[in-house]
Amino acid sequence: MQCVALKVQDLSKHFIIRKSVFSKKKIINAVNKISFEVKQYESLGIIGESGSGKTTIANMLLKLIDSSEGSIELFGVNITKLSPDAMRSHRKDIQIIFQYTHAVLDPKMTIEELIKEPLEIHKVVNEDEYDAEVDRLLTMVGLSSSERKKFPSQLSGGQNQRIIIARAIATRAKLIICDEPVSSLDVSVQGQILNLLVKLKKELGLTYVLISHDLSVVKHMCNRIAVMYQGEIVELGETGKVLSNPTNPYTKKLIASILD
Amino acid sequence: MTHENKLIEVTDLKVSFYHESGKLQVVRGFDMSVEKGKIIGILGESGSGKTVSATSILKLEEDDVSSIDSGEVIFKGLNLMELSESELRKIRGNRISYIFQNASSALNPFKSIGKQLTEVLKNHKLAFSKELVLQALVEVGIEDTETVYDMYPFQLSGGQNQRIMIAQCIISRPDLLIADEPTSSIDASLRKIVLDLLKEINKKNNMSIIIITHDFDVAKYLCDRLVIMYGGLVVEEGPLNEIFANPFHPYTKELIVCAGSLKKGDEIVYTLEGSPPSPFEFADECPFAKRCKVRLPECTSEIPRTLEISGRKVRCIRYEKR
Repeated sequence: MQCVALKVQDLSKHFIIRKSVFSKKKIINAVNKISFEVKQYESLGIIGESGSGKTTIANMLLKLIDSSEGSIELFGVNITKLSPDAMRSHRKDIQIIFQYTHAVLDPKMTIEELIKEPLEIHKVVNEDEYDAEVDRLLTMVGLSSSERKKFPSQLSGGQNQRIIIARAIATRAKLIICDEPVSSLDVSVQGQILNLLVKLKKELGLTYVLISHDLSVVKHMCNRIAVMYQGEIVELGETGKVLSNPTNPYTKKLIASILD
Repeated sequence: MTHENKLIEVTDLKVSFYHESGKLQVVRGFDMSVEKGKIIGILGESGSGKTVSATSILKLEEDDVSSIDSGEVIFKGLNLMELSESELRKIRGNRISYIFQNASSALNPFKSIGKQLTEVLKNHKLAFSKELVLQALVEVGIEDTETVYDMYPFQLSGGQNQRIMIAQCIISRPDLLIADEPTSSIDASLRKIVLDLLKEINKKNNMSIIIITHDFDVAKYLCDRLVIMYGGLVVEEGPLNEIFANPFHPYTKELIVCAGSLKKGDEIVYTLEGSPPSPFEFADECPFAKRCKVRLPECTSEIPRTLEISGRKVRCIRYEKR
């Protein structure tokens, strides 16, 4: 039986907004009681428009922000209430691939240093193996070791996205969250990155949670899909079924907006 | 194409930016013309020069950071490149409107919608009244226009603000509307609505539109003709359906296959190796040569000339031999 990589139950995040000490508190339910499961080796796509809570979920799964309610189980371990120290040992199992912007990679670090960083933090290999490991990771993401001494500004957007991917797989992560992995890339480069993600998934036995607003990307990458609207999952199911026979009005609207 | 029908004609536009070690030419050859009532798409990847070409038509780039090295922009018999700043100001936002890419920051947060729209008319010394503003709001599909008239941008949603932006651009009844990525900052479910709105405005007012986009689907949905840019050059130009049915330039061919592959559901997406050149890598050669699968030795010896073939244009050395 396939093991469950990620189990999320009744997860919520409320943000409290208070304009001044005198004004009333306003509660925003960014994510409201969502539940879903991701089996190992599966890919779950999360789609929805901006403000629907997609990225808040990613941040909670990685414990970059604390959840307000509910629980997150990562490979059978409840990580919801873990202290930052205790979380550290689990952090290498779950990694994120951010959307490429100039803010993701430190512009003053070389490619070599950028890929070495997660290796050092999580003590993935011995110190004397760093060099070989960086080379191996660069090859895996389709770059050559001649790029090692370069800075992010000397590489193209697509190449930088590959570096971001190399950093995520460096820790031997089992579950990877991809937050809009190709939306900032040029059309002729998007396909390269999607193919790379598919290849790595096969080779390394990865599980993906892919966040995107682009239906064709989700359709290509994911076997299951969750549609988010105003902080709630309004539809969840097999990608083919959801797209060919949507039941929720918002999903219908989303599918109708595809340009042919 | 008869000459009288042309609303605007741009020939041999070249634009440079200044940087530490001198001048860097980012637009190396931009030609296009727009007929009355048509929608033209400028399609290209980031760094291909599409936005700079469009802003340079109205000389919107500042003199201390950029220079227009050559080029002629004939709009209704006037060469915009030779006009003074005050003469240009009478055309900008009045005869030619521009929708900028980041629409959310283009509205003034401190002024009501009604005031902002009235301002456009006042600035251009056009007749203004509340009725005209309300009518413009109706045209862009705003419901309950009386209420919206007194509202502020922060009280409206992203999609509504996008409509206000469009209303602001069409209220002066311009001859030409330039829209730079009008749908890239809004949600997918709103994209079609905004594009349909542009289509409707184009039909109803016979207003020409130049739409700048990197998105093939947007271009396909909206445009009559396409201008395809790569590496600061126009590499292909022609009617949309002809380009799709029979693309001339190798880059256009590859792009159509790339965009189609993901949609078709291919297990391995068809890709084009490498990435588009940055302006720092521009050289006297075909900018696509490095990624081209049908490259000839001559491709890297000079920038190919633009050739006219049955009413279409292409910049590829392979067609010179025919």
